[in-house]
Amino acid sequence: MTVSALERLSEASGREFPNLLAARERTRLGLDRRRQSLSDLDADADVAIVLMGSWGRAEVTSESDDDFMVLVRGVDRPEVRPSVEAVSKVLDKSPGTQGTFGQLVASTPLIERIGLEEDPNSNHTRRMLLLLESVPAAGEAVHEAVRSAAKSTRAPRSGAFATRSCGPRGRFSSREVYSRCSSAPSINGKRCPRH
Amino acid sequence: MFECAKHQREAMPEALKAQMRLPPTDRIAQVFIDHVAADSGGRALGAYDDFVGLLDDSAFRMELSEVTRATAGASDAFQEAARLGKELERGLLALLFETNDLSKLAREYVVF
Repeated sequence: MTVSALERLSEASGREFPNLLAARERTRLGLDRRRQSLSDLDADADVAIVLMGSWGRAEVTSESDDDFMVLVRGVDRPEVRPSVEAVSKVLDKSPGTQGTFGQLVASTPLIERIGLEEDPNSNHTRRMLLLLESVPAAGEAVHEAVRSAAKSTRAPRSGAFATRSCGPRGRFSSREVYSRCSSAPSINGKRCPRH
Repeated sequence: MFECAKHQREAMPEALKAQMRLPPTDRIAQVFIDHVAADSGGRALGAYDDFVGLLDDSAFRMELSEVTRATAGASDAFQEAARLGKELERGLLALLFETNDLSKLAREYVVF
């Protein structure tokens, strides 16, 4: 069995991490159980059920909620299988009450609406949690595909004011069409100072 | 970020994918190990481990959820959470700014 970096740090520092390791085991067991239960639900091929927060961090405690979203690849549509209600009936605990979880979420807004009015706090939060703190409970291929697309996403489209910090020479801002610094470093003849 | 800095641009997407499959505590632990800062790492993640343990305590969570600015000073739960937060912060700052190669990267990419 592979020794995790956390376990290697424990050995190197002489400090034990019993709660984090117990939480990982609890997460693993809980995820196995949920995956088994959710596999009984009928599911569309372009849908994933994604657990987030402490599930994604592998830090589930006895008090953790089942923060989830039903992620459909592409644009929003009214009928998706499984429904949010069907998933809620299977999971043990309700998601948090702030409205970010327990929702049907389409991947297109997560990936394409970056910044400004098109990217409200809920969209931004879901995107960051998807990238940094999520794990698929069903539809692993869909989850991976959406995460990969979100990682490759570009900056705001034309007409939007975009400010980017680009390397050690400070901010580089433009009102024009903007591409990722690493792929198209020149905007209307103005070169990114990093290139 | 620190993992990406080891790679050429073309290899970064795969490196990022691999990193994001790991629990965040493994990613942080690896950075402490890579930069010979195991003692700081033990203290920082030890504090975080203590905090995760407290999250398993429903009385602790209840007290924290009811804390206000006015009552924070008298709340044992809040004071303990704040102490552990400071310990974690000290370890992360030591990692970011007291290790030679990381401090250069931190100044370039973390501090604006």
